[in-house]
Amino acid sequence: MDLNSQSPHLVDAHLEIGKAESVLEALRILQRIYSVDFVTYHLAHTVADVVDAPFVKTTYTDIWVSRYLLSGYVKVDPVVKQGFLRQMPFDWRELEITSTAYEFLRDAQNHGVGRNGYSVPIVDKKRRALLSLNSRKPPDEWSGIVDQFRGEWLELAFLIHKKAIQEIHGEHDPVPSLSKREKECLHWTALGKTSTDIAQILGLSEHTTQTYLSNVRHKFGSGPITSAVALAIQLRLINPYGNTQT
Amino acid sequence: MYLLVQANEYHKYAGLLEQSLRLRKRVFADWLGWKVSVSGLYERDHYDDLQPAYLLWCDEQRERLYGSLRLMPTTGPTLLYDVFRETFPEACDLVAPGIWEGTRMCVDETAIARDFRDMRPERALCLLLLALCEVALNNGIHTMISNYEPHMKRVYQRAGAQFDELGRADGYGRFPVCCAAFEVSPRVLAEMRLKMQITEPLYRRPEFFRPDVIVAELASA
Repeated sequence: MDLNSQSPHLVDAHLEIGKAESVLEALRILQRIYSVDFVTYHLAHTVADVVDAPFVKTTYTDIWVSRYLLSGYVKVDPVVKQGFLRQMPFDWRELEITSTAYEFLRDAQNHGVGRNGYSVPIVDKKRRALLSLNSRKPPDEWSGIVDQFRGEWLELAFLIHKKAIQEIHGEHDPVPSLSKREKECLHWTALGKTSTDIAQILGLSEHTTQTYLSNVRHKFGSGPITSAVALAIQLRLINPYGNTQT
Repeated sequence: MYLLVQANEYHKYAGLLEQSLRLRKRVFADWLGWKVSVSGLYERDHYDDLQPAYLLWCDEQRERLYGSLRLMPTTGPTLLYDVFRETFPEACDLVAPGIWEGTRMCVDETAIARDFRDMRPERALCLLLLALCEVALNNGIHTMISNYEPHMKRVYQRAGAQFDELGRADGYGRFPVCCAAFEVSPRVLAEMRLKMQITEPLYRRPEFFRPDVIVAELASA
């Protein structure tokens, strides 16, 4: 997979989610672009943090959300239970369903919740969160959608997480700090070199070069590499036309 | 067989996980002389408290462990980031959702000699590396950051692995410790299988449970 060639879905999602005014709006965008039925972002309760309650945003119906809260389903919900223990993304069909969860699942389906879902655990240096997508599509069709888009969802999950942290803390993204290698790769990208060229110039493999560039994109909010180049020049992190690497 | 065990299943594989901690003590503390935190018969550090995933290689009965390694996402706290920050600045900049670190990779040479006649320890480590490649690919990981002792470099190369060594550090054990970024892709997987002459996948992801079917049955009951 070329890490820097992006699908139209992903490009649109980046653009729109980047501009979204709230996490909820970002979730609605994700839901629309990937034609899923519901999306939920759940930041785990962390005592050390400013917020003392879990931060949850969802596109589920109000009726289902209030029923979920009033019934104390958060203690039963196998997605939440396992989602905060697992580290790797998972299909809901991988969940082992305990007898207490049967009733919950049946009730969920009666309230329009789809039978299929996919969740991405998000782990940063101090917090854990979970992004879940829910679908009413039949299992076989859902499997195909997951195979096609799980890589994109992984990236977008972290973008939404960043947005949530901003929404909670009002932090502005500080200027990202780039490593020497990242700067070098970005410098040569700014001068129009492909990752194959850069690999040769720097004596690295093409894969590693792409990985550095993918990091750079991640640090600049996961847009395309061209916008990272523009921003890096604007922030004077690189100086490609000055003939000196800063 | 190979198992990927995450925190939601630790209780199911407690015996194998305990063997893994014992094996790590024998390999890293006793044999390689690394300065690792040993308590009693186990080698265990605070990264083991952060719900890492473990790749376990064991017999079909899931009773006897042959090898193991620990997997953590680089977006969270990681050992290589914290411990080797000074030594491998470039490795520590590799932080992204699709990049994971693999540490404490080891095999039980005694158990392997007993159950797999004629298998050399290098081959065993390569099998574990191949299983790691399969697991990583299966979970959307495109790069693994991992450490190893220098003599393994040629072994991994012969096994078809693609990696860039990012640096070496002295002072952790008798030999330097190398750190590298391993490419995870269908191309590398095919190359490794070819070089190691393995045709079948080593790792099989567990079958789906079918809660939808179960729920439908409940509803009609």
